[in-house]
Amino acid sequence: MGLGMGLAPDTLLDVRGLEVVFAQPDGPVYAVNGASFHVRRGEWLGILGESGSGKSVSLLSILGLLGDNGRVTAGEAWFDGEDLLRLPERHLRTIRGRRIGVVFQSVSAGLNPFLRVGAQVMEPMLQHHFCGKAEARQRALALLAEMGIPDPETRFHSFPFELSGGMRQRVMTAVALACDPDLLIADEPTTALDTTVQVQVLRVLRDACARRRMATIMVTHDIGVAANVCDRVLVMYAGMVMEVCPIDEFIERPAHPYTLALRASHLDVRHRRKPLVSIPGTAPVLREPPRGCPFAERCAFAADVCRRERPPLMPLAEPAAAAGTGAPSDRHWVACHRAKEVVALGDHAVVDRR
Amino acid sequence: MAITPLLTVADLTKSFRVRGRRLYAVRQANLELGAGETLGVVGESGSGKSTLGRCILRLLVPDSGRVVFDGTDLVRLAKRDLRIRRRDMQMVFQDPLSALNPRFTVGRNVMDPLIVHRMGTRKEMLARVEAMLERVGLSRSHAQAYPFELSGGQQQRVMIARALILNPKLVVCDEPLSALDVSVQAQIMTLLQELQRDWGLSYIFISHNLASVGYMSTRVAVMYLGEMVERAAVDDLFDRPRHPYTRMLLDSVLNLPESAAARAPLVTIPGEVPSPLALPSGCSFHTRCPFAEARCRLSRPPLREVAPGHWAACHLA
Repeated sequence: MGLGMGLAPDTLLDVRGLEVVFAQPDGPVYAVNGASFHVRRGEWLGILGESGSGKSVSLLSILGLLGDNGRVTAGEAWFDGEDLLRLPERHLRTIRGRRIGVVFQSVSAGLNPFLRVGAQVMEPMLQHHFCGKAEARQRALALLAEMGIPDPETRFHSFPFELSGGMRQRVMTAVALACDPDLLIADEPTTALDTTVQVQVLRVLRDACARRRMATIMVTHDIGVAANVCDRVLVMYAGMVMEVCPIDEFIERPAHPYTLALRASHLDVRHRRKPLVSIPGTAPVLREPPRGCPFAERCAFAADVCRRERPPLMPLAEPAAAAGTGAPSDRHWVACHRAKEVVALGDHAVVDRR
Repeated sequence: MAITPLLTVADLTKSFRVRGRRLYAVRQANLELGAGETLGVVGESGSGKSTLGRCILRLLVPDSGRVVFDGTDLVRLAKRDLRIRRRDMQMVFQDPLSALNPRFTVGRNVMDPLIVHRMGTRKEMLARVEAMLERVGLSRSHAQAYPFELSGGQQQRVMIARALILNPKLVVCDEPLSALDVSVQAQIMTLLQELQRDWGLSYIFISHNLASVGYMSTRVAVMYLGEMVERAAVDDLFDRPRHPYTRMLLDSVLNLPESAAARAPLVTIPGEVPSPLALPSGCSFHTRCPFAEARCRLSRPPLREVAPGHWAACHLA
């Protein structure tokens, strides 16, 4: 512990140097390339990235839920004193669903269509011998109510197909919270929902986490969602952590060109005349581990060094005026050779150079 | 708006039979679209926006109402004449992979409308396809690829190429960005705007995403439970919404805050969209509306002009 990351004693999950490779018919794909991050008790960490950035894969791999063709090739994932990546499946099963709850984007992946709602919320409690049947039933009803499901007594007996998308997402969250986990992993929990329902579900989720002082890692591709609900945000690209910082820094002092590009391509209902900036090209599918910075080919700031050397995740200096010294902080980390120049320019750094 | 609109939809209603009951997907929708204009249609799932789009192209036959395109009522048109008119109206779908033929190369997919409408020799058609692929930001060599070999953004470019190969006047874009990453969404929106500018296209841009509708549209219509509840110029609608539902939709968008202190409070209006099989009495929004009064439960408010060019279906607007 320590290693300069300034790990607080209340760190719940500490992932280090995670690497994941997928075997494909046409050769390996390097999906996660040395990702390190941690989450503290009670904290809401957002992992922001586009499809193929490795954000979901990172979390699936620490849960032991990678498909047959995926393999963790390096790294550690310390959860409350145990390395999840080295636990036997039998032992991992006592943690997954019990101490770590999981919510997926696709409700069809998370709920059994043949089982009534109540039985599904009770199932993890019975499976993990968390409590007896009568208590599980009471807890399930209370959880459904807490998730904002109207008339839980009736809904308890419903099948998933009888519920709206928003209600199913609430049920899935109730299942994830059934055994009072220490950590909730939510993979795009509101992506499939309409915006009015999205806000409802996020609100319920945030209140439930705060009440339990539960840590949450939420994967999202939506910068608006990340910026409005998370305590800290981690930006991922090509399986690498590009930037990780508290929410105030993320909103007010972004330092990675990719973060700036994501901000610029985010459409805002309030600023409809703002010039639309698109990131040229597409995210890479890595057939070999990245040599330089994987974003270099799309980056307006890329210099020779960026194509040659992989930028390490380094602490960003505090603004000189605020800290007095411009000393490095352990709040804000960036993997960019040119972070100093980028942070000085802020959103002005992004111009469409096509 | 042009004096004679390219498209006029009047009192369009479309219902489906569901489990022995009538489901009204679109109720008495009205709209006009001028040449070179984009009308955004926004609403939540089940609002009827896609059904409206399909009725306009007569991919679905409406129960009643008129769809006058370039002077012809498409609802009453015979199949054969409809086929000829279809050259001028095309659609871009949400999921390119399911809309493109997976067994055909990209080139053959884009060429398909030319073959159907017998537009020239094979060589002429191929030349048009290759030029079109380049125009939408792909290369000639993509003609030999199969759709699944392309990225999501490239697939959507192929969709657009196929929609535009017959030089249509009207393109209905149904959630064209939903399956794409944000950085790619921006690329596709820019492309759609360039093509519109160069060729004077008219778009109907259907989306649940207010931000992209606000970016693409000259005018916007908001739908709720099959009804058009508000319609206005884009700035009037976004900056001065008159219908409580439009206001609620706008409030539910999570923007990038200016500062950490300005984060969204996540204030929500409770409730969900009621079932279209059991429509509320009076105003369909009254079950969720914080301003609802007795009359809102009793009588359905008509869409009326509350300010010049600004229409809202609300007793209180």
